[in-house]
Amino acid sequence: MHELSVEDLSSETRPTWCGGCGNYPILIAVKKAIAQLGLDPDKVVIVSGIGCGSSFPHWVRTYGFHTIHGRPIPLASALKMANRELTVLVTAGDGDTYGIGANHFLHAMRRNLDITVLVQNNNIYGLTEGQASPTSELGKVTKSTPYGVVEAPLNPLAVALSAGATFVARAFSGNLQHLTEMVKAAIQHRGVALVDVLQPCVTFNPAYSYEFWRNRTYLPGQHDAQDIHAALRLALEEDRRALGVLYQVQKPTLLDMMPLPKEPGNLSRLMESFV
Amino acid sequence: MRENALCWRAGGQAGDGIMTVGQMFGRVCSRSGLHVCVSAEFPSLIRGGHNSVWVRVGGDSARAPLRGTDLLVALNRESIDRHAASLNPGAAVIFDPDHMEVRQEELPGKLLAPIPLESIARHDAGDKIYRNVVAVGATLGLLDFGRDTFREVLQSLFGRKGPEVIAANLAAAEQGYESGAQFSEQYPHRLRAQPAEKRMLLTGNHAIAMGALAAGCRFYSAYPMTPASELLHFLARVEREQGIVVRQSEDEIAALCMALGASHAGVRAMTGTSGGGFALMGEALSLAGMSETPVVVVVASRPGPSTGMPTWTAQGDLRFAAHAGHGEFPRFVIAPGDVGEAFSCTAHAFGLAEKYQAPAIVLSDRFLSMGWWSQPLFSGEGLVPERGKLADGALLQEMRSSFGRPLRYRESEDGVSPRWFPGTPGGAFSASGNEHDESGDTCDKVENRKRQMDKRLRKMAAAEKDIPPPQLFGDEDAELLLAGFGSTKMPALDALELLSERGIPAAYLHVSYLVPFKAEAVRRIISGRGLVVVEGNADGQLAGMIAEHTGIIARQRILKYDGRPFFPDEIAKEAERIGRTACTS
Repeated sequence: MHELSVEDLSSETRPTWCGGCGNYPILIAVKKAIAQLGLDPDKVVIVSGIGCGSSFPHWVRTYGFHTIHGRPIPLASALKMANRELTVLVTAGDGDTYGIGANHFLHAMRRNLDITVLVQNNNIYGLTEGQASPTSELGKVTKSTPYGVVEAPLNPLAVALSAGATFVARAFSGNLQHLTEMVKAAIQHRGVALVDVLQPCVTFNPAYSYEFWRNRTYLPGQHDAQDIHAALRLALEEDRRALGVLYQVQKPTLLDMMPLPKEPGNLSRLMESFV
Repeated sequence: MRENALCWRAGGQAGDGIMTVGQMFGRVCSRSGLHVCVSAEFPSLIRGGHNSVWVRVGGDSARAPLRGTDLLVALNRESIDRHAASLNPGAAVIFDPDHMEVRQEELPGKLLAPIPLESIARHDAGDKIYRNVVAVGATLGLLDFGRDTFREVLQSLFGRKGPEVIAANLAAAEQGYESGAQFSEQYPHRLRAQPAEKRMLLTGNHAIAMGALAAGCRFYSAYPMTPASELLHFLARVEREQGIVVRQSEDEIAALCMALGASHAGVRAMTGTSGGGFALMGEALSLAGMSETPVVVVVASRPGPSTGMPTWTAQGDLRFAAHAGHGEFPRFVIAPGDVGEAFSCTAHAFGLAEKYQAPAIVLSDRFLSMGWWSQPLFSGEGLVPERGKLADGALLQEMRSSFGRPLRYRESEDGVSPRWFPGTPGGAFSASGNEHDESGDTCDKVENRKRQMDKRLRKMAAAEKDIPPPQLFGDEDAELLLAGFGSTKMPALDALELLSERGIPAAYLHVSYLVPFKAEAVRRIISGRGLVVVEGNADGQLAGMIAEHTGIIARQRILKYDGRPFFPDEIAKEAERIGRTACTS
């Protein structure tokens, strides 16, 4: 078998995102990561929710499931439990993961199942044409907040860290090479991996442009990714956003604690116990 | 002397272990070849509040609890105050004279059996916790029945806990028996062991879980909710020996989505909840419909709306189950009528879900899910259903060469498209909750939408042939025809016997399979008869479905929505009244 290229992983249909959408680099990064890691695309499942970015699985030639808003995480989790040979990726937006699906997000972090959660975080609801998202900053004027957002934005990385995540990273879709490295590291991590991707929405959140994020993100020089306090310090920074793996530790995964189920047991014996 | 017909009742405070008392007594009867129905009443409290448990024992049948009591075990004074009115002529009351005063004048004509339960437990077994075992022993002594069988039951229940625990239990049982036996001569009821095939004593939830295991279910995800929680507890307990993965999810939305994920990966999967949790599952149920993912959802109803009465029973979710989820998509709704059907219908639900790649809802209720019945061992052989249409490598290859890619949602005559699972070489596709073309890609073109909708809905017509017809019981030609679904079957069949004793010919039409509805079969049976629909809800939801599908409106309805299951005599009485009115009007 020849080595996979990004083109081999492209589907027949082409993305319909706006020109300049921050999703394009994410799509390329995922394909590159799959190709560079030498994964068998038939053993990869990409599970998405609902949002502009959630058409993602249709545009990668792997298995996929385009689910409903907020729910890709539980569906993906059981896919992995049911077939441990699969590489399972969730691609969903900030509204999907940190809003409507926040409960699943929290529990996925503490469950430490070996899946990758890739969040297309553009700080806005794009598909529904521009309402505030859980990560929209205070004062942000959107269609649903004409007088400005009055609820403090959620800090997904800090939440993930405190919820027990074993891999927390941030990437920026304006830095494809770094983004690809983050996706690869996340897939390779044994346990749950969160990659929060800062992603411009050129149509409904133009203020958060590539340039905006380029000026507000940085790669920390010295950082001990095993130190949760150091990771939290970076996660809690307000004026700028650190990119890279903020935190990574090895802990037993959910599957380590769930023995592979045996063949179906003896039902007659079970019934006898009720006599 | 009345033989093998007994209504036993025990009452006490929540936390007194009343259910265990009922189960122990029930097991002794069941092991003795008698028919047993155990039903409990309890508030949604862990301690405090009044709990009571009924055990109805019969030689030929025991389907539903009766209102009268032949033997009352009062673990507190409140039990006497609450249940005195239900005491039948000749009834006896076992109570602990050290803890309460009961005067004969209060209970004229009833046999008082003061037995110092707690002091016997302390003195002979070494701990007052054995009081309940003493109480069961006393019950058996009074009935002159089951002494050795009780020992066996205690062995099988507590054998694992070591010889000391067993010895204490046996001592408590023995002394209890002796104390009860002193009153035996004055008591007119007797139970006698009779030859019978081996029987279990189990709940509807156990039967549903066993049906799922027999059908090859390997994944169960759920969030706790009465009365479905026991499915989670039981399956979790047998998880490792039975080779099933059981997960408690963060909520019911996740519970169903997890089941869908496991199913999509090729594993037979189920979730279970009650009405409130099922409300949260609506969107994912619709996803199952659109993505054509097989799944079994158990809905064990309790009285709503909202939190309602969490520990009581209702049949108020029939319409909800039939219509849950937005949009139109094929589904199955099956409401088993007893523990036997709970087993077989659940196993069948897996078969239907897989064959037609659609959600199948098993609709139970608190009465069936948490009541205990004696039941011969299920035959678990040959119940693992066929997987339905599966695509192999050759078919995937053929589709790739004809269409450029495999078509997961390919057009077919019966609407069912071959499926395959992630990991299959050369089969990459995306399942979708969006309207999609045959390949799974999002597509909202007019022609495609219509084709895919028609394809999915066609599955329901194709499934008709796999739906068993409704069952008719009793006097098949009787003018008076009762009809019901789900657990109403049990009190309704008992009611038929009562009516027959009174010389009133009657039949009962039992509908377990509600969606799709066997309209023609139901119409044939009900046409031209005095139809009385019996349901545990306020709306007459089955009556509504019958009207919708057959055009026949059942104006006579016996509806009950007070949280209690139907009592056979109330159905019989009401049916008799309706029958008489209908004849004279």
